[in-house]
Amino acid sequence: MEKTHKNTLNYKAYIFIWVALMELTILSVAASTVDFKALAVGIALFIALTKSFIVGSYFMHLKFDSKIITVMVLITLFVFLTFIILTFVDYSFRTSIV
Amino acid sequence: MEQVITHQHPHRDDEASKMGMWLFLFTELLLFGGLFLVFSIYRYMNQKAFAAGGHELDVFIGTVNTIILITSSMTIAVSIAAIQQDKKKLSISLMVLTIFLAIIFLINKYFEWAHKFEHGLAPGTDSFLHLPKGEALFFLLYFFMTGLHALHVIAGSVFIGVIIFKVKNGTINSTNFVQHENAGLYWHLVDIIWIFLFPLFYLVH
Repeated sequence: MEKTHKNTLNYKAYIFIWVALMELTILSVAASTVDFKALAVGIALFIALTKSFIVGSYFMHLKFDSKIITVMVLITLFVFLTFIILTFVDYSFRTSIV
Repeated sequence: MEQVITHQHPHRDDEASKMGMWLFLFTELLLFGGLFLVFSIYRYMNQKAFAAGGHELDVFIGTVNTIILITSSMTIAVSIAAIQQDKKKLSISLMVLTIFLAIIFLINKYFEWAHKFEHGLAPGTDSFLHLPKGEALFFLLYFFMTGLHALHVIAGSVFIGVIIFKVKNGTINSTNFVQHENAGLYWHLVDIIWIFLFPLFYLVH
């Protein structure tokens, strides 16, 4: 039974995390009203990645569960990142796109 | 004592169950990841049209829906903490609240889509065919990605509904709650996908 309660965050902690996510949401909406030009996508993605990191670590318990799951998540993200990089390299070097 | 427990649950392995759920989530992640990649490439190729498309979307409804989904993610997380502490009623109420929030999310989505359809932005109609190519791509991706996400919201709600039933009849309790955790994981994934859909479609112009 010991293991049953080990991974539990208390309610307060979840509410604290919820507040943090709300603040980041407001921040990303606020950032969109400023014209950051080319940086806008980067800023929006950075905030979204931060929010996902918080959801993953605390709501999805990656911080408290066995580390092997975190490793699996990182491998998946690495695979996805590879797809992104290869696709963009491909498109950047094409000369005959419409 | 140890032997009795082993006998009661001959095949139970919570960690493997959770790992299986994560493996499924990876396939979901790559499914949406592929779509995000398609979106990025077309955005890169049609920057002006995608910016024009983004201006058509209602940032207010998008923000409200983001707040709703993040709140529902919090309620499902707390409902798991509640079942771990054997607070059955609290856990069930929080899951009912989660489903309630999911329904509000879908109602907002319905009005948003209906509004777009009224303005001739329904894929397959004549007015849609006459849109500039880049804008047509933007709205096709918008309907496809938010539609697929909405299907996941519905599936997640059904999953949570099953968990409510199982908590009620005691199959899920303070010593056996891995299915409840798995439903939570699915719900958080749906939330994470929206966390990316929202800025890319509504905010970045």
